[in-house]
Amino acid sequence: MMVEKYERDTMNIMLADDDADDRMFFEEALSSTPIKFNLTLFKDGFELMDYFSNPESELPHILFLDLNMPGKSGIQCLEELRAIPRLREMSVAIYSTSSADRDIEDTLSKGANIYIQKPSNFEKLRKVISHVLKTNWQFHMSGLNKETFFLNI
Amino acid sequence: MKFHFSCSSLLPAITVLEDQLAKFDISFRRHDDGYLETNQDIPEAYRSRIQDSLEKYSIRIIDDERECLVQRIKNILFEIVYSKKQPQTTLSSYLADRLGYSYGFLSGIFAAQTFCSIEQYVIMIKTERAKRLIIEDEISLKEISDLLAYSSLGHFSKQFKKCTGITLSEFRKIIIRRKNGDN
Repeated sequence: MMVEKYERDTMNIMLADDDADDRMFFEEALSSTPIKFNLTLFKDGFELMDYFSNPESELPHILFLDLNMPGKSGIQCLEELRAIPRLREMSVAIYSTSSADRDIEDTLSKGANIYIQKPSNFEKLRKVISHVLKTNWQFHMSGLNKETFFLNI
Repeated sequence: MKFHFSCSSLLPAITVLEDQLAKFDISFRRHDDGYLETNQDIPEAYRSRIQDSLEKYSIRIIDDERECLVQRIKNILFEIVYSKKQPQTTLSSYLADRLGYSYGFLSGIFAAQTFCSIEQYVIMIKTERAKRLIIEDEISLKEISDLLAYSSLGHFSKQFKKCTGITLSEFRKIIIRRKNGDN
């Protein structure tokens, strides 16, 4: 008989990105990894915050959040999400074309766990997604402290 | 008042488990790799009731043998990273001795279940311990590097950057900004 703290399951993944091509690209790359997943897509920050404003909405194992969305930006979403107590433990990965140190430091300081610079080609994207998901899974499965989970890739 | 706490040991979970099993009059022996052996078979009818009583503590019983072995490996790795003494032998022969399987077999099962190698996993939990120690801010980076058995501060800082993608000083800056309410 063994003791373990977390359940094993399919990975629930969410992505908020206003660019339809980027969403499709992401889904394709995700499908080419060996990971079992459910993917939920949001077209902008408003749609995303609508979803999480329902206190009974299901939480993902990880949310990928595009930084530059029109209307409500990724950083605004991040701040609003972290202000909701039940979402504090949710892994948030910033997904951005910017590689500026300032953006990295700002988003991690505001509560993001992961910063991903959007890779330019499919193979790189597949590798990055796979690495991020595996690392996130280790944190989840080993009950490690999410508050100190940082990854910049 | 705000305070940080961490819980890296299996002791709380084991204590809960002991209390719960006592309610069902089940006696058992505790092994130091974090598993229990009951002295008699548990009747099927009891199993679901025991599972239910453990569920609210987020503890579950692992049935799958491979999963059990992976959890035992993880428990030993945590024990190594969190103890002051480092094993005298290499990690691979230490694990093989403790668990009675070849290292090749253990690392294969581990990678298949966790998507990560034993070595990567050790680096990850070492880095996690380093982060806790940096946040607690009681000992210097050099002392943290020694405590975690890195050969030098340079090696420690390189591995930290490789594992997290950020440098030690960036990590400190982010932690201070988060503490000051920038989140």
